[in-house]
Amino acid sequence: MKKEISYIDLLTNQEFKSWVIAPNFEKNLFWEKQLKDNPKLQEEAKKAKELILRLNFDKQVLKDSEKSLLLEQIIKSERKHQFEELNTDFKQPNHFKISLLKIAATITIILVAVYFLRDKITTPHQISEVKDTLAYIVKSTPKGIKTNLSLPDGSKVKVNADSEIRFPDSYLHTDNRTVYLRGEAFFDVQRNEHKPFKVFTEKLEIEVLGTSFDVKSYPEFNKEYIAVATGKVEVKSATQKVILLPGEIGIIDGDEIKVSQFDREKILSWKDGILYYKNENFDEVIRKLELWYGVDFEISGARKGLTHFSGKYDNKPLATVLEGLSFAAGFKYKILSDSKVKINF
Amino acid sequence: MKSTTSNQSDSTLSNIVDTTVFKIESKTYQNQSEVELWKLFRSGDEGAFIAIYQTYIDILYNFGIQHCKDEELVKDCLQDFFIYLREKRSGLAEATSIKFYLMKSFRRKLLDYLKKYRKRLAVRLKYQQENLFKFEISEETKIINRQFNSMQVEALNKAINKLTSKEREAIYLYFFSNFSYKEISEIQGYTHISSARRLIYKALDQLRITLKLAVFFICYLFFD
Repeated sequence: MKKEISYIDLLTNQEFKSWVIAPNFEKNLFWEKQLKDNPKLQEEAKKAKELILRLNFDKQVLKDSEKSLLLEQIIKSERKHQFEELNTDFKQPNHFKISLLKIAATITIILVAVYFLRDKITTPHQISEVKDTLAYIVKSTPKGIKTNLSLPDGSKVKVNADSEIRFPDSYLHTDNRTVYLRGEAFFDVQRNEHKPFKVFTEKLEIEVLGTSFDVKSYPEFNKEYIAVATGKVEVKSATQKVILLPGEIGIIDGDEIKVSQFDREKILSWKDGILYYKNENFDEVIRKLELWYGVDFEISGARKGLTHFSGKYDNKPLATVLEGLSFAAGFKYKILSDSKVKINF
Repeated sequence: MKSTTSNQSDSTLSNIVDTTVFKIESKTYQNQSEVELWKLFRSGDEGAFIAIYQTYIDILYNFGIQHCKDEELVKDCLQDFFIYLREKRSGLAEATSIKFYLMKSFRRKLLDYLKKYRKRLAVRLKYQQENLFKFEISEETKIINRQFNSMQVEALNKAINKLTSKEREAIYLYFFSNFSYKEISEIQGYTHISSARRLIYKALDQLRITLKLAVFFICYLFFD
């Protein structure tokens, strides 16, 4: 005679157990059929079922807040790690820097496009692949192009031509709001007492709570300064720390920060689309035009005429500017099709 | 080419917004099969990772707490574990059951962790050793027509307390996590499937004997 099936046999039966814990249509069909004409087995099944359902393990769960915090830390710690690696890359000699910048710029052009598109997309997109290496957001501008940028905390940045801004994509989740700048940008910082806003340039570390200021840092031209429009700004160099007030400019000289008053029109006009130069020498003006219009100059002949120039152009084409300049400096010019300008004295 | 790159950067950008965004976006992953979801995660998909995290964090935390009652240690280990998964994602094996894969690898990580911190936590861990995978037959009130009376249950619970922690873990994996013998063997690190089966048979058999004795004891009380 067949041995009677006990509830212990049922408990050790994987299919039975799995039917009790996670029943579905298919399993129901099968087991109901098995038990249908067998009252003895039904009894045993009842026992087995009861034991499974009464089995009680210590249950402990994380609070929702703990879960999100943990998730944040997981994502952040990995990024921090990558970010540190990137930072060391940036301290490599110049040729490294340039190739890295090229890569960054390429990525950025795509990023910039997407950044603007993002606001227009209302339904959340299904996320697909994310490159592990994209631990920060880069926004860079080529020569001739200025752009506006909104940071995740609502701070506004005007980015001048030939500049690059980077910030970690964990921007909102770190203790500081940190931004890296190469080039020139005007920051209008959303006030937040709990999260200082920091800008790092080649030589300066700028810290504010909420204010507006202009930072210029083109290491290749040995020119770095910060000019404060409103509020109070703390600036650190390798050896020095100064507090700047509105109207004051800190110009880096070696490792020293020299504080003076600045000419608002001269320093800040660019952000309002006004090309402005005042008492600047020919090379400085040319450099400004190269940046502003995204052109390269080819200069030949011996210089003559005036040595210093002033000008103010509100959204004017390059030809207009060159018309005035050529008259003052005494040169002839030709604008070529491939963003080249030939100047002949 | 262009569209895939845009997607990549799109999701990176959404990272900066808030983790709540992920909650919305992970919903689109609910209809994915486990195999697909795992594949997406391995290919670097952030949304897939968040979906996996949100689905399995409770299960893993609870499993960890069974091994070690030190909540902070379990949390630390979970953090390390997920960071490790993310770093190694492209090299991870394919998985048909994500839960199985995660519990198996998390268990290994946790045991290493406990070994590492054993000295520091010596006293606490020794105490905990007796409380691992603690369970009982509860006074579940929802069940009508109970087959076991409170005396039997008490006897059963005493017997349960005598089980080894390995046996209790096997029972946890079998009845609580709903794993098969094969999966349990792999999780507990046995080379042969029958090991887990034997462990559970043995444990249940002890319970059966206890129950028989209890029944005998009841009869003795009533008819003596």
